[in-house]
Amino acid sequence: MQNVATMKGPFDGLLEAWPRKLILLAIVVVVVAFPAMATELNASRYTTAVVFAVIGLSVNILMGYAGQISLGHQAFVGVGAFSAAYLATNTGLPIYLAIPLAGVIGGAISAILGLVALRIQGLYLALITLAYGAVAERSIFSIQALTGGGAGIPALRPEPFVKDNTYSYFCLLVLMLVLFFDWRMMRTKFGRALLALKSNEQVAASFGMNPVFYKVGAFVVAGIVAGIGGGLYAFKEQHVVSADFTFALALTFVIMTVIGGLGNRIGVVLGSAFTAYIPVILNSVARWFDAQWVIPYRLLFTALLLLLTLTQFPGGIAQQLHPFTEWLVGKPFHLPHKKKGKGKKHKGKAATTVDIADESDPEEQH
Amino acid sequence: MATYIVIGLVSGVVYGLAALGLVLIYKGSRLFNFAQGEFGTVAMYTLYVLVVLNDWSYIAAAPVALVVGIALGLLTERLVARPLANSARVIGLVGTAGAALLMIGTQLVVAGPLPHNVPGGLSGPGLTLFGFRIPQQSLLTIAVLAVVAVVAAYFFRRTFLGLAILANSQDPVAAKVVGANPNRISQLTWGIAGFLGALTGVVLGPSVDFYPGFMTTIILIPAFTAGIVGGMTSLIGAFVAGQIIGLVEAIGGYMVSKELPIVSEIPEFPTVLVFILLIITLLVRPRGLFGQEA
Repeated sequence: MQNVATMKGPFDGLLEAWPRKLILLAIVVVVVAFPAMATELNASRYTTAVVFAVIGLSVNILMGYAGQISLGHQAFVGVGAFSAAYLATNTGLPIYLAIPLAGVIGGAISAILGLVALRIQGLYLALITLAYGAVAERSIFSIQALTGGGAGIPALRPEPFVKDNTYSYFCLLVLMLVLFFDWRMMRTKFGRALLALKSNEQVAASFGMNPVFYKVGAFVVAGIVAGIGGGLYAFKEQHVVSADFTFALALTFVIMTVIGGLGNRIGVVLGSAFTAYIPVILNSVARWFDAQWVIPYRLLFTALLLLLTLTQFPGGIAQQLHPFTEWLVGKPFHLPHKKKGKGKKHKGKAATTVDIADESDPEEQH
Repeated sequence: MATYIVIGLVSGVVYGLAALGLVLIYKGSRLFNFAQGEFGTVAMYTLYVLVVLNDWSYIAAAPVALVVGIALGLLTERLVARPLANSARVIGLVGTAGAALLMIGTQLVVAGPLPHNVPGGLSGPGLTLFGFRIPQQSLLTIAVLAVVAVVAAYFFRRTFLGLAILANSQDPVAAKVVGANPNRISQLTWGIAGFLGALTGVVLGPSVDFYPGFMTTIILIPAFTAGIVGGMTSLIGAFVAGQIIGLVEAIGGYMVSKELPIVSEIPEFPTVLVFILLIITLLVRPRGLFGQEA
């Protein structure tokens, strides 16, 4: 049907809207070039943000796509971290093998949890993951032979990743791979089935999707990504201790995903990175304004942000930035309401065009 | 063994009471209330602020702490539960977790991360049972919670308000038709839940060293387990299951103390035992011991 004259070649329109593309390019350049020029401390913080983004994407697979809540994600991540550290330290595997293997182990362990999830849904499943996280934190991660008990195990970075600056590029590469995988996955039958199951399990099942298979599948994929994130975390900290993987961490993972915007991968990456930077931001505020009193307010601040996001902007950062991101990729700058929403949190009104990822969940059966 | 059983019973009543609050909210709003534990911790910190920082007596501070608990329950209902009533349940759950975090954050700002305790609880000779002395404050805990259980049973069986709450949880539309305002009922359940949480905090406060998030850390998971084992819709079930969880933990502790072969290799064995109980319940009898809905 399409006229030859209106067909687009790959380079047509490349120069259209060039200021936007320049801005997009500038953002990419700044993000990519930052670790090369930053001090080691800043590169280390940057790495944390990248690792959090990988973990956020893992939470997003369960919560954003499959509609299953995970309150035990610190255990998923911990499994990956301890596996990677154990493999690197006790068997001498190189980092390129230790991290993928950590992903495999993470996937295998979460498959077991996924099998439990077959009979349990919704809130009850959330509770299972919560209890699993607590057991992992207090018991499994304290088994002397595997995790070195309370003392933990080291995970030293080999050359050329000894410096945080180079290691952050390694993490950035992994994040890109995970993002790409996530993007492609959601374009497959598997990805669409997850979304269908989330909106209505009965309807999806009546169209021939096997809920059992896809739910366990979501757990496995999330476990793999969390395992990889844990592996990155292990080499980032270079020492893994069970005390790191508390329930508070699991809550942080959930919060950063919700703040970012459930179901929106770019939003999740931004939300995770932002959450990783909250302590840094508060410390800077304390230093610049000579206001040491702000530091204990970190948790209060995070919790307020979460509640405001949930009640005012259920789509999170993705929703708030939506007009801006749309504009960047060449669509008209369309603000649903008067205020300039770009980059400012809790200022603009809700964008109606964003699909909010949490409209319904299947009725529980218990 | 007797010692462990007594310890188990005391923690069992505490779990049972927390589970009662959870079940109440679940019946009223179909929500797992992660803030339930923090109603108690905030009550403890209220005691701390009044008794330690302002030299009140424990008896005078206790009612204030209870009022604070009720206020927290009502606030959580208004600011979190009601705005999120129509969103997915997992979002509601994250919302209550956010409310809990907000309270923990406030505790951190008010009193810092270090543990505190409140003097002024009962410190009489207590009762000696099977050669194990039960402190008087623990006896008070058991007594208070037993009274609460009886009052709650009466309230939900015999009074109009109690029946209205139950009716609303079974069929909100029908309850509305016969004149039970759902918003009022939601407020009522959250207020009661706040009261129950604060009551736990008040009676437990003098016998523990608490830190921000104390009740969430110590009590939330056993209480949820109790709620599920009891059936999540049954108030009696929650209370009975609380005792069961307390006993299971105690048995776990006993097994560890006897240094049984495999058990002593597992760190925190009682926690693992409770987790196993939770899994078995959900796999074998998902509606719990006393749950009415299939």
